[in-house]
Amino acid sequence: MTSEGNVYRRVLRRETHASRTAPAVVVAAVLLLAILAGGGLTVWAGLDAGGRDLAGRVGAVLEDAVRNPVVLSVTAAVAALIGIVLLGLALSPGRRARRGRATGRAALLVDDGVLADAVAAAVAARCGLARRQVVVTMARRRADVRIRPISGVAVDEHGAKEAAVSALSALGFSAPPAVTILPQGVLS
Amino acid sequence: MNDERERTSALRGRTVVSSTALHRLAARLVADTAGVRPAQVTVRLSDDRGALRATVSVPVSLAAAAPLSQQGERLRDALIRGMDRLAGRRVAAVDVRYAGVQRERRRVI
Repeated sequence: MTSEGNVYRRVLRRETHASRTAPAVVVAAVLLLAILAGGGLTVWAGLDAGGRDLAGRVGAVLEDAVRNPVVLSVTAAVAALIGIVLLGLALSPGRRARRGRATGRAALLVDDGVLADAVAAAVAARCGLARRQVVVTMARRRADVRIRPISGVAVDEHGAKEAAVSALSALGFSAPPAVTILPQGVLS
Repeated sequence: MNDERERTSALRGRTVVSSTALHRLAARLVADTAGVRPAQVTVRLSDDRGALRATVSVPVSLAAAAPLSQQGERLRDALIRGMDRLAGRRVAAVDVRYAGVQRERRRVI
């Protein structure tokens, strides 16, 4: 591929995955502030009596907190929570509900909701149902199609599957549909 | 792609039968079979695991000679067949309840 292809691939990846910049910046800023505060206090305590006083008070407060089991456990719980959230952010794939594909000349980025709507419209048209009777959700590699039938009218499950496949492939995406016919129907 | 176009053109538009129309149709079918006025028949349609279930309340017509159990069977049959033929709906169950008596036989067409 040309460099264009590389650009497309990069842009698509960037648009389909959540950016970790914001949490990274927050963590870095908080750490930086803590380090600066500690360093500043140390320097101030070395130079000035007021600083020594403040450092002593901060130390006393910290010591009290360490002795108090309630404060200690709450702090530990909060720290663990933050840690779990950060780990999750770091390790999860962070995919957004979008998918993209690049052809020779253009890159295409489509929201999953748009694809789901297109599939639902196609399935409803094929099965002769109202649009609201078909609910589609796009999973990562699957299109979940749920059909609420009209009472007493059989639903063409095979046709629904076909319609979903062709609607998706017309847009250039492939996600095998999983068709579910809901047990409870509606009168009309 | 061509195949797709052909198929969609064969299925242009959709036919909708409203709930009210279904109820009226069912009431008429029952009334015609039982030999009573449609206004004396109440029909309630509900969903029964994807099929229709009809609950019919109809007066006993003294003009009909058959025993009630047979009449009920006839009603059930007529309703299932009529709904399938006219509305394309599969009726899975028909509950018939006889309520009241109609003396003379009057047909409203």
